[in-house]
Amino acid sequence: MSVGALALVAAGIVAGELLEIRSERGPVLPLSHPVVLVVAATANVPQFTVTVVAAQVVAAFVRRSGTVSRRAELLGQRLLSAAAAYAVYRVGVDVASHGHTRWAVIGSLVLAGVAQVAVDEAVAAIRARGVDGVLRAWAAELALVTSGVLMAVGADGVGHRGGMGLWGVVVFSVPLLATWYSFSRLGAIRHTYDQTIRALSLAPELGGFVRPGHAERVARLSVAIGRELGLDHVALRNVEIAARLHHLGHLCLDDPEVLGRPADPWEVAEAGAVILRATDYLAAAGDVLATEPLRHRRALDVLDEPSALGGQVLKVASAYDELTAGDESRARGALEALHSGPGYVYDGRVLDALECVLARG
Amino acid sequence: MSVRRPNRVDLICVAVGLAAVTAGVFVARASAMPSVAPLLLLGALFAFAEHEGVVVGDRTGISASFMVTMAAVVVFRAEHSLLGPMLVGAIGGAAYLPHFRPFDWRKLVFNVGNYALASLCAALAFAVVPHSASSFVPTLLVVSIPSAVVNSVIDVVLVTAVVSASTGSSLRGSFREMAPTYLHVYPFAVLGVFMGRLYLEIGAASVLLFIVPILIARHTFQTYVDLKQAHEATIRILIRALEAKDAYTAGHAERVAKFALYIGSELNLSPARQERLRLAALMHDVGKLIVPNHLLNKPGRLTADEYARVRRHEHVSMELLTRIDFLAPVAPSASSEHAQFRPVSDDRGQPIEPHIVAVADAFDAMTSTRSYRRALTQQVAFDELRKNAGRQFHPRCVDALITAIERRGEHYGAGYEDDAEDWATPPPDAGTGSAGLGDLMPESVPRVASGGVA
Repeated sequence: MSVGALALVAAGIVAGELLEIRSERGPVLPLSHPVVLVVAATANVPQFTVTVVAAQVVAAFVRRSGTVSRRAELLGQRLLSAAAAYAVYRVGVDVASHGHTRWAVIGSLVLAGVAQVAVDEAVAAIRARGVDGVLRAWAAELALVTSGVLMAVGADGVGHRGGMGLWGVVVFSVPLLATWYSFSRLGAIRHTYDQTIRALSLAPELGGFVRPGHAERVARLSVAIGRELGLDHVALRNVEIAARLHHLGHLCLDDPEVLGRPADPWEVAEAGAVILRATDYLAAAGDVLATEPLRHRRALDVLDEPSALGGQVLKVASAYDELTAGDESRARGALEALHSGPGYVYDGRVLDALECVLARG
Repeated sequence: MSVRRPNRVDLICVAVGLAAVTAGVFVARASAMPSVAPLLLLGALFAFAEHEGVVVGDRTGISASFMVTMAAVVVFRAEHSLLGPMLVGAIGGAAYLPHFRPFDWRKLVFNVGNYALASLCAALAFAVVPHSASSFVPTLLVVSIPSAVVNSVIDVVLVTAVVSASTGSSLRGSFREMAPTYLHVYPFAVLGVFMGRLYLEIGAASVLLFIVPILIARHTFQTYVDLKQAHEATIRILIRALEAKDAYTAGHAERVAKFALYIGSELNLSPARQERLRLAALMHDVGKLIVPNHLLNKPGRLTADEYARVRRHEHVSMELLTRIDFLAPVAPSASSEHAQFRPVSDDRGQPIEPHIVAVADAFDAMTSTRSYRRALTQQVAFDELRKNAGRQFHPRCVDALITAIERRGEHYGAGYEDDAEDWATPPPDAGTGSAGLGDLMPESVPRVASGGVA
């Protein structure tokens, strides 16, 4: 490419940096990525480097907003994605065909474009959860990939040295087996907690305080409503646990005949929350349960939003199941009863979500 | 780290450090100097592995550094340097940052000495192998086993000594506490031998590959620890539920566990069985969650209806426990049917755990003040247990409990209760009899002198 053409393309990169699109999951993507891909396909290494670096530096200055450190960070990120794209393209074209067959070129361009986006995704994930958090979230995938690399090197060595054939595969499979072992333990941990929660949720039913199946129905309904409202999977899990255990408090209070009055929902919820907060695993669910009796506006003002919203979801789901007792024919009547209550008792958004869930069947 | 017997721990750390230094001086004279590059690389990897270690129990950790030791043994064998592995261990022990903030010279000196000595012995054990053997993979695998075992044994011995000195527990106790984790590192030791061989073939590039198993090892050890903690958390949740409902029942469960463990150790049960015994004791009354509070604490006799309602708790205990896999084996201890001792000609095949729990349960019931009766004295409780041994209670369990308590010189029951509750109507001194439920039952129901509603 001639210098003039490169200059125009560089200007295109700068313009592209000023226009951004936001993906649905969050990362912000610049329109400059495709232009960088053009340069990768048409320029050689020095031309590519100069063009992209110059353009990105100019863009860093010209950006409409952002502190100095943020601009520097973005600059680094853009250079990284450009380098990744170029490397992938070159490797694809040179390795795949020692030349420029059409399939290799197009395929490599696709992969290079994917590489640009992958860099943006990785940076966004690290900013959201930190390096540790990302490693943990992708632990299984990383373990598999790296074990494979290790086993392959064990078998064939690197550059014709160090290969041990089949023995290498056997010996270097230790990390793979350790991975399998540790992830199955993770499964066992999750299983233990699940079983404990289900057993505990059965206790009020065995004691005759609650209709059989109530906790299970409320749990399922709460999760459906929560999903409708867009709660993330952590919040959904907490709501589910709180729903399964929301009658635990009944076990701690005296019988209504002895108390001389029906059980106060505050006491029941608080007693249950106290039990749940005894361990880290259930503490967040305990928070959800504690907010259940709160009037919805007060809850959402005062408390951490997801657990407060979870509490309101739980309140609606529980009230609904108490009115219908699992009998679907009573759904319409129950909905009317919930809507006709005073406006501050049940959150309108939650009621709407309930209707959507029921409509879907 | 607060140390209860400073002198002994200090001595051990200094001794280990001195031994390592002395050995190092001797070895430095006798063997070749190691080359710098592998020394630094492997030392850094060792430190990294230690940093990615997982804490197990109170004071010890488990990490993949064993892998790096074995790799160093193989790498430096090629150079005929015994000093190499020693220095790798020393660097790894010294470069552990958490021991610098706050500065703890004892831990640093101990770790440096321990790793250096263990690595040296592993290298010695490996050095007797002719070098040509290391080319054939299965041979290398076999000959490296003694080396790994030597390393492990020295490490275990030294760590057990220093941990038992610093916590004040017995050597055997410390050993048993850490035992489950000893074997976990062996697969990584085997891997280390071949990582060393790989290093000899492809050089420093293999360092990247070392990082993979270190991180995977950390994940593996961590999940092992987390599983145990999940079990503990489950039990804590169930006890907390009991506690929120009725403080006595939760305290009772913990005391029954204590007495059951006294009996278990008197009877020399294995650590695994003692752990199951502890679970059984803690969980045997979990079904009381469904018994209304006013019945649990009723001052007088129960009516037939109330009695039926209370007895349902055993069925609920079984229901709850059988639904949780790791507690299912201890479910029989929750049922009085299994706990009932029936003299049979040969009961060697039957598990003794439910009987142990029954005896511990009865003892605690008798020696605590309840709503319907004040605590009995320890002597009366012992007499009652002996009187019913062979009929209600397993005689060996009764003897074991009495022996254990007398040997420890402890006292329970009237006059020695440390958290007796205050009751609105003070319970009578005696009158409603010896062991809780036994004398509260309606006349029509056969007597069962177990812990019952106690």
